[in-house]
Amino acid sequence: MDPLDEARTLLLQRCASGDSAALRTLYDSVAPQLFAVLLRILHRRDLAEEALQEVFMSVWRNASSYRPGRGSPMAWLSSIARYRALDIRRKLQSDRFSVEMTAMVEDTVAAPDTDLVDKADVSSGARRLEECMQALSPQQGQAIRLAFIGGLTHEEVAVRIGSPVGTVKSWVRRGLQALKSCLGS
Amino acid sequence: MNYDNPELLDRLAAEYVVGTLRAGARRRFESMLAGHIPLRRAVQRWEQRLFELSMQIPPVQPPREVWTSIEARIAPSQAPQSSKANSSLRTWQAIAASVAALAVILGTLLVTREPEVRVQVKVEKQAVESAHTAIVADATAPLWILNAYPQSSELHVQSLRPAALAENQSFELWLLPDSGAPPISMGLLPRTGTVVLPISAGQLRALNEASKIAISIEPAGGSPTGAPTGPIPYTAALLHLRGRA
Repeated sequence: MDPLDEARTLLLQRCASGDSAALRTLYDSVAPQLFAVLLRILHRRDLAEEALQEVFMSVWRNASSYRPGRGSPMAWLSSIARYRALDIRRKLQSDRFSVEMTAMVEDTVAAPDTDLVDKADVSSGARRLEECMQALSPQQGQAIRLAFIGGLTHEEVAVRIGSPVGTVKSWVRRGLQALKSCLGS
Repeated sequence: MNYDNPELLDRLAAEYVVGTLRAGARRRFESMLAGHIPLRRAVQRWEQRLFELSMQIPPVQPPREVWTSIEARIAPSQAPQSSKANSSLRTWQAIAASVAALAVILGTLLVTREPEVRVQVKVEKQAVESAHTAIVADATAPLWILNAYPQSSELHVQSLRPAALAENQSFELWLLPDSGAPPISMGLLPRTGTVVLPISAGQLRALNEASKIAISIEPAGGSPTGAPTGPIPYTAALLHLRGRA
């Protein structure tokens, strides 16, 4: 097991037994990354700060449901953050804030990080995923990044890259299947 | 919708994780998750496949108020802090006050931290074997991870990012005993890569009796006096998985 994963697994187990110092250490270790994830989807610091608070309350209450065998601590933690952000974003959209949101997606990451493959300090999992992302068609890769990192809906991705929604849907679906077979699991 | 078709199920799980299910479908999917183990496994596999995409985003330091609010909300019905622990915190603060601004901030945070509840936890042994752990971070991300393995008397230290250090200096790791006794050296830390440090019987006892660690900057080769002599840029909580003897 990766040492950082192991340390974070220990911290989650301590959280499950009510140790708030463990939550604090976990917070110091992952909050900046999770805050960045939330900001990319929500685009507003006030919303992202509130969401980050909710995420850690959820981690505190549900730490005992983390199972080391089912994925890394960071996969678990970042999923909690992403789903929280997606819920907030979709809620705002249904409250007709979507104009504001669509206007703000412009700075969302779309370009692949081509340097990443060569970076020495990236985990082997990250390198592997990046290689598989590079193997997709550019449109497939861009659509998946916009949806996953930026929290965009099919419709928003379509507006953003100027293609029909149906085309975007099939890029995402086929891209994901290609990723799955490339990653071999 | 037929949730027994494995292929469809996996596709839905993928779209759920990516976030492209429409609001209604998303809610229906979530209500299915709790009672549908294969669906949950499919979601977990997709989360594991894709999460690294959002780890590429550069980290952003959240404002301090976020933690303050979390801390206020988890305000537990915990045992009052013992005077012994208080005195060790004061001792520690005295050290922290004399060093870099970062250490001062951390010292303040330590004071506001709730006392640790010592509960024995059952561990899935195959997954986790270390009994003490610490993550040392600066303002944005972890720098070192320490995992101590009492059974093999080994301390594994991994550097995640090189911390700034002059050529003729070393990082030295110290345990800060809860009793307020002087810091105990655990050895020199690598600037890059991983090292395995042996743990002596005395250090092992000290590991069980400390809840904080500190990292000082020393002349190359370590402190000449056996006590920290340079600035202490990093501190961290030392967590004990199996409670303490």
